[in-house]
Amino acid sequence: MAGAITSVCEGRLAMLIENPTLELETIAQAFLAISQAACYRGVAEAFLKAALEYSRAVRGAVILSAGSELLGNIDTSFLRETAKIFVSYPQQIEFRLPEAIEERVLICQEVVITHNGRINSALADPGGCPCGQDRIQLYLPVVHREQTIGVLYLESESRQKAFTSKCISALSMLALQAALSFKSAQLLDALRETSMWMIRGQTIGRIGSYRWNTRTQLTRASRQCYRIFNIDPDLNPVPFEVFKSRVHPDDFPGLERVLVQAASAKAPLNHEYRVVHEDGTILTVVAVGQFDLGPSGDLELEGIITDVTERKTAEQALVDARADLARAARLASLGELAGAIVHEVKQPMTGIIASASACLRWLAREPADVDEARKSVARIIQSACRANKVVSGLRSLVRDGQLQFARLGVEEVIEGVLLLLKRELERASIKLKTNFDKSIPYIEGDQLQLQQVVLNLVRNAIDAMCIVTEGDRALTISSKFVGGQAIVTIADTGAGIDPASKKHLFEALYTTKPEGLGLGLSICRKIIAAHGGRLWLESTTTFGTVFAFALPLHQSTNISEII
Amino acid sequence: MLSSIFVHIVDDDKSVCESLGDLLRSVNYQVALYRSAAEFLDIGRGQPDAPSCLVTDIRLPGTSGLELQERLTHLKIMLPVILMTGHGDISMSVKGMKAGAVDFLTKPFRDQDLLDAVAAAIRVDQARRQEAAKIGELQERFSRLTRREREVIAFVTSGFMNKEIASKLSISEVTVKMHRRGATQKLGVSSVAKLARMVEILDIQRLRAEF
Repeated sequence: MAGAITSVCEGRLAMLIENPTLELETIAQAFLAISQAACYRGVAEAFLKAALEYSRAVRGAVILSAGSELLGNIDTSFLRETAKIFVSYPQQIEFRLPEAIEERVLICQEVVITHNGRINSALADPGGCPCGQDRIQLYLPVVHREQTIGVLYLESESRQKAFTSKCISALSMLALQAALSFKSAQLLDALRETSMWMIRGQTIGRIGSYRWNTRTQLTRASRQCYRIFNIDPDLNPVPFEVFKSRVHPDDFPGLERVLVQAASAKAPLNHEYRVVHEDGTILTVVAVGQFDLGPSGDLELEGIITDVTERKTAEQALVDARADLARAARLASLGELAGAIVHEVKQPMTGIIASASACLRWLAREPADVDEARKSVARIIQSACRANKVVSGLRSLVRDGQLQFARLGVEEVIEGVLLLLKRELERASIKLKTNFDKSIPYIEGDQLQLQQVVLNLVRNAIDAMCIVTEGDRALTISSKFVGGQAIVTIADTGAGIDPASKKHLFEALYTTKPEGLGLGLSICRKIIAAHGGRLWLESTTTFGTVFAFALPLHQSTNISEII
Repeated sequence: MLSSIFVHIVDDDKSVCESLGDLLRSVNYQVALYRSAAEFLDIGRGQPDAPSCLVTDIRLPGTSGLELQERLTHLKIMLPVILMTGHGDISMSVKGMKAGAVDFLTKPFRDQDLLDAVAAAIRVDQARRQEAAKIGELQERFSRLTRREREVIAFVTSGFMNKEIASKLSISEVTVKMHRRGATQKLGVSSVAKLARMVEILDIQRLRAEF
């Protein structure tokens, strides 16, 4: 580029002197060229070119330093390799700032003109210069905010016409512009770097930042946001409808509610929801933000979105592992319990068989030994009683008797259970619908036991739906207040209960599940009965099953037995 | 009416113990009931020396049924053992049978199962007792031999001729014949073959005693 710098010089120079308008135009163009340069080198080159053109100098150089410390450390020999930005004409030449001049230019920021001939030229002259002896050199500091950030050096042959005061003031102006452009290039660079860091940070952290205008319903968002929501990056800003289309339909109502609440209270937002991509990928994200008035005066939500899917998956795996462990432990302890029970029952059975056959033998004797036979029968009775006791003990093990009544809300009982089962429902892709009658007064009941009932019924519903692979899975829990009773219905879209199982449904130890104990529904029914209510199978078809239970508001007595 | 057969029953469950005793008494066995292995080891040895067997539960407080079986082997009490368990525990039953149990019953069992097992165990004990009695008699006869007679017998059963024995013992062949005749009369055997077999049994017994 520098090669082209002075190719136009000779012709234009003559014109410049005669035509002040053209001169102004040249300066204006030089300003434009310098200000348009986007990089450090571009600035230096444009500056040098303009300076050479304007001053009819034959050789020149520009040194610019990004950091003031470089110039501060300038040695007498200032080789082009060590300068941050160095351009020269002709190219590939060494520059040496004379010691005597250095302080005046760099520190006092003076414009220095020397008439030292070619010997004192600041530019090394390896190839030999064709020019004559009468040389004149110009050193012009490039200053930005009182700081020397560079030097313009020009060499001219013509003693008479070179470096007039008008020329120097024009060059000083160009230098000012060069300094400004250089600094803005630096600023741009810093900005670009910061932005790169931010993007990289957001990519690594799976975090996107956004700003949503509640009036225009438009959102500006970082690249990572587009990636998280799977939105075309060219769509800028993003309309709310597009954003909404990416939110999991089940999660949108909740998100909307939270947004409205946070907007009206100008409260911080912190909400977790799921995002669905067009290809069906589901991500879990956490949106954090704050509502405030934006520059336009509109209410805006600014914040970040974090993709927590991986964390969620890990958490889920942990929860699953814990549940498996708990299940295994429960089964193991049940197995142990069963072993102990079996042993406890087998003992008296052994006794009964032995004594009974002994009895027969006593009686078969000639004559019959009635006395011994009677003793044998007594032992049989004793053993049978003992076996009965073991079985009774088992029953009390299953549920220890007493209920503790307190005033409680039916809805709270159910919500408490749903909280526990939220993950199970999510994992089974079951949509939950609740329809609570807010007019139900408080009832008297044992919270733990009632939750046990709801838990059991909902678990059964989940199990029933997990078998079905077709169609939507929906769990609907409703409550209503009828005839002084709170009635709760739990409806699933499972495969229904087959007629053969229906009549055994509430029998203890009857189960259709491979791992079931067959205690669930029978215990449920007993708990509800102990509350003075009833539990029944409302309906069952191949499209789903509905269980219902009714509870009275008040308990006639404070303590009652379940079994 | 009561037979001389004796069955020891060990079960920590009193009513099971009594019922099993009931059953065995109804078929004319004499029974002794114990609630633990320790109790059996204490009192059981005081019982009359008659054909007998032990019926024990595996799970007992303190010493278990299997440990009791080991203790008996260690004490050289050759009592046939029948094991019982409330848990159909395969590994335990294998261990018990390997240790020489006559039978292994899983509770609850049929009366006949127990009676059959006891009968089998008693047969084992009776056979053992007969064998022991025979050996005891042999030992008694053998003990009546003089030192010289025993030496001669030892050479005879090892296949030496009278002449060789005489030279080895530095006595006359006639004296050898005399000792030999005396020994066979005392032992009540008519042939060298019978004599050899008898010495063999006694030798095995001696080895066992030393072991």
